[in-house]
Amino acid sequence: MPVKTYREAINEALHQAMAEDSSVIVLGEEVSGGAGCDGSRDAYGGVMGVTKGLLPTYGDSRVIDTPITESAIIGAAAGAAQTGLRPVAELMFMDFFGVCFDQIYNQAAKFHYMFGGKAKCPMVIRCTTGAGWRAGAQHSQNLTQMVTMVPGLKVVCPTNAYDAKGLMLQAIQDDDCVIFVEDKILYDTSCEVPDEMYTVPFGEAKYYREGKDLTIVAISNPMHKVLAVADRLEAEGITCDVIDPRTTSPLDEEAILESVEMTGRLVVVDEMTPRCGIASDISSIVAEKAFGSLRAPIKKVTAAHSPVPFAPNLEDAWIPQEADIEAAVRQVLEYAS
Amino acid sequence: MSLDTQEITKPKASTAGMSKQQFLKAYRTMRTIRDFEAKISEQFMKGNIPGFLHLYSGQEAVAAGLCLLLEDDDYVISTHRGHGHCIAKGGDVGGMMKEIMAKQGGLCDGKGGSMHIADFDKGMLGANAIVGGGPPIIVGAALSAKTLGTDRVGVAFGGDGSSNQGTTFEAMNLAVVLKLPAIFLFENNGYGEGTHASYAVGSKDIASRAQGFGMPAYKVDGTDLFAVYEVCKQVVEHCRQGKGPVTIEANVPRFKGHFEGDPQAYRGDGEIERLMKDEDCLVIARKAAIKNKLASAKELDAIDEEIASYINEVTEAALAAPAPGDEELLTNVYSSAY
Amino acid sequence: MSNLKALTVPKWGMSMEEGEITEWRVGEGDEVSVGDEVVDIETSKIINTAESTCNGTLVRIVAQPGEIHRVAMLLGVVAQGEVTDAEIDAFVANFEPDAAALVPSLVSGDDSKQQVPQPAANERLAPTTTTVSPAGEKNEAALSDGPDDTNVKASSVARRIAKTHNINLHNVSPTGRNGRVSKWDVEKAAGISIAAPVRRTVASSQVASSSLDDSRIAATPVARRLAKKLALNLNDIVPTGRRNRVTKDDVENAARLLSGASDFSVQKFSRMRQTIAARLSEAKQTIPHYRVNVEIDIDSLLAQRKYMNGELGHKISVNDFVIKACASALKRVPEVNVQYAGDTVRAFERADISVAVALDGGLVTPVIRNACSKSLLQISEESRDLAHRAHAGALAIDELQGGTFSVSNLGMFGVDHFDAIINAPQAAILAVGAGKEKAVARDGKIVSATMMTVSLSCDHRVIDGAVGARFLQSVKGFLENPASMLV
Repeated sequence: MPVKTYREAINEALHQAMAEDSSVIVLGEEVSGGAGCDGSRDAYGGVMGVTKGLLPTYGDSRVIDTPITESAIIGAAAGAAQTGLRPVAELMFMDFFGVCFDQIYNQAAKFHYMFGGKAKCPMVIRCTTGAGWRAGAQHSQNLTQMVTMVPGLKVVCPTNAYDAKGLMLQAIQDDDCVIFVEDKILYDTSCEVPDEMYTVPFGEAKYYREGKDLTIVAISNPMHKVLAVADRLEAEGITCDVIDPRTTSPLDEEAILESVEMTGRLVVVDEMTPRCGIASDISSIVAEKAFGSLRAPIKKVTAAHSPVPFAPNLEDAWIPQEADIEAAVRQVLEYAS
Repeated sequence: MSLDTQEITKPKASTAGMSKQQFLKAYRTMRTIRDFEAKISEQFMKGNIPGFLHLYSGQEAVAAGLCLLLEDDDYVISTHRGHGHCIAKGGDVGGMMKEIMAKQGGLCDGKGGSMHIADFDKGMLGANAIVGGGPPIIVGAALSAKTLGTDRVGVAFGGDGSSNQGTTFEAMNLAVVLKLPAIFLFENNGYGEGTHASYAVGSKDIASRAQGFGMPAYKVDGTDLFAVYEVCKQVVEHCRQGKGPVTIEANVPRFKGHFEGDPQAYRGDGEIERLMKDEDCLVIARKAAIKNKLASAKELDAIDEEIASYINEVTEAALAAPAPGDEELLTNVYSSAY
Repeated sequence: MSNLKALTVPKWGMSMEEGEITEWRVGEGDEVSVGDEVVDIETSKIINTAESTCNGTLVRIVAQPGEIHRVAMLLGVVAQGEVTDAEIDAFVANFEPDAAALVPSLVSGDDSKQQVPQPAANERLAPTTTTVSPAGEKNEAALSDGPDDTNVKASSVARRIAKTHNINLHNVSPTGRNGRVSKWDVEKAAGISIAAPVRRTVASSQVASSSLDDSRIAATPVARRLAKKLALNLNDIVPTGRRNRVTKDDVENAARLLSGASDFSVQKFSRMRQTIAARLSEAKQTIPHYRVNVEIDIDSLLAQRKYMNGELGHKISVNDFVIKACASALKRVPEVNVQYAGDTVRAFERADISVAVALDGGLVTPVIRNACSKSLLQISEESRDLAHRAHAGALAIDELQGGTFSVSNLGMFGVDHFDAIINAPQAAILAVGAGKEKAVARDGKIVSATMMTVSLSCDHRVIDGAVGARFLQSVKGFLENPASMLV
């Protein structure tokens, strides 16, 4: 099977979805790039290069460069979704949700319910997250929790190229507004990805590892640090269930609770600020529904409660690192019940 | 008449070439809106309507005049003051009454209410209770029309208040950039809640703002059905031909408060009485129609009577309808499986 | 089917939701009556023994040792009269737990809330309507039957459990997310509940370095207690239990390997055994014992006894003489009739003699009060009565408490000589061996005499060696001259 990067996998999904369904359009800032310029079009293909090649293939009526006006982008996508298109809108950085959040949580998320099921909003909002690029406080945040809490939205956070393609194709064919959170730290990671179209269902967790001593749940790029820790522990004879929910809304609570019932121990890892984050949410679900199975307190590993700092040493300290994860895991394992 | 004027236009002919049939349809729409709102105001006072109401009374000619030119598959998006737009667009009046009373059979299954009244079968994409929430969405509807190659248009109703919102500016700009068949229709009723437009709108008018985005703009007397019709006819045609978006600013009176129960202490002495006497679009249209022999007083009286009894009928039906079942709480949160 | 009754998991306290079946005390085919102890169940807090709630024959054990079952779930089936296996199977299959005994939130009367669909995860708590016995061979076969289930949609955990329990996923009704078979679906089908066990955590470097501390090693509570009792460190024991837990079996195997013994069985301590163990350990560890021995010629005693029992028809034992002699000696040497009490000494006037009575699985020490004021005959009758009632388990608690001196006699077992551990809080105990014919020198001649060796253990804190010796001399004097006791 061919090996593709996370970036290539999403690009391939967009190509295939657009080829198959003429109602799929892509819009956003620089999705091709170079509009109105003297130089060449498709100059960027998205600032991350994810939409590269779409404009030459599908033309500017379906690959639409917009001004830097996020409310208009999301509103236009929502309006188009209600009226027959399947837009994939790009917001570049998740940090930019702030300037268009009304269109996301008050409009797109609510149409179906607020209008008694008579409106549909089949749209995808792509955005990137992930600290570590020294991109500072406004280009590094993971705000997945802010959209996960909104009824009507679905939230997808793929951690590998295979899932990214399957989840993107699922997101495009889904009739709800799907927030597709791409972790920019993962764009150049690769794995085997089939050439043909396939979907990965929402709300079904992936078990990266299966074990018996501990459950680790991780969201987005910290998953790869978790896997490194889990593999080190395995060499010591400690085995873990390592669970990637893949979507935070819907959340595969069942898979997490089942695992905790077997292991009795839980560490949750995300790269969000610690309060009201996905790790907090999963911790509360487990505490509420699997309390009797717990043999040790749940441990969260998250980012620090501060804006993302610019200085490399500070940003590295802000990000949950392998050592933090390993320390938490050992603490939970060593807890004498 | 230029498509790009800052003058308040008056129709060339006094009835703008409107046919009798069109006039009667428009009159019927205006009368329905007026009576419907009078009835919900009454029912609100009786405690039969939860939440709150923002009434359109006095602005009927704008919705009626524009919607004469639209088909069911053209799109409009409305504001918190949306009953008139929904009725004018052909929305199911009985379903509206039930919705506003939070009953089964309401247009939104009782989950929307007055501020989210919508009828997707009639291209009415919903009243939107976020000021400035609608314009970006209608840009999307217009984008669909353009991308799918239909000649449909999208109209975003707004007020002087929404003309100040950044989302509106972004939408107008994007519509120009993408040359979309979008109409931004600002009904300037002089008030954003309890603050006057002369205070809150920084530019001399709204139309000139559109010109700043490179968009043609009209100003029209919104109390004159025929004037609205004449302007909209040209604007809709412009959009259907793919010539890009247009803005219309219509000056209208607001007969009622911002919301039902608003004490309106901010109004001038005798202001409302004067507006209702001099600027009632129904009175003005009726006079002009009779004068120009488009309809007789008798014909119009018959319509008035028929509509009054129709509104009574839908009110009784809505009062008798049951509330939504408790099981509706978690239905339709998502379209696809969750 | 009315003659079949269900034994179910009892609810011991508000917080109990489930329990692990430890051991059945009765087997299939055994008769049980209301109140009979039938099965040990361990919860997170206690091990307790469930009692039968009905009379009849235990015809089916459903809950097997090692399994965890929720409150109100089926433990076993009791029948009155003849029943067929098919009837029992049907009873087990149709068993429905008493909803009121299940988790309280499930039986909430708030209808409006119940109408709100809850996340699937909550549904696992719903009462199981059909429980299939893992013990019923038919059902087990049915659950494992079926075509390859690789493509049946199931969660990772559900698939693992199904594999462990030999369940074909085709036979499990899926209620999980997106039509997936969940862990709880498999548990429901198998009629079991699998919860998290405690894990061992030796892998951590921190723990490994302190290998002597075994408090973090995952073990069943029973295994942990047993290991402590057998002085085994859990680090040295290979765990084979579910989820790597050290089990009772593991400890027993380790003990067998370490001791080299070919085999042994381990029995649970009775409460009496626990008391004996605790009290004797304490006495031996805290009381500074010393012992003095003496040989006593009991030929004249035996001659007297022969006459009393023969001609007079009494049933006086040698031990009765010993008791009487001790009582008399305590009167003469009252320094021995004392107890250590911290910084004081309790001196007793009366000689209340505790007499050790061996029982199956332990011993008791009923007291003969004021023995020195009682005749030999009275002592004899009283001691026989106490021994009889001790064997019948009919002694009152106050008959077992409050002695001031003890006598322990193993003479009837042919023991020559032994030392006894002081029966705290008393300060002395006399250990009596068997009377044996020996060659002794008497008046320059070797003659035959019946000699009995006694050993006095004293608490040195309150009885010095010379005092002990004097007391023993006195005992010897009375026993060698029995008539003197009558004075």
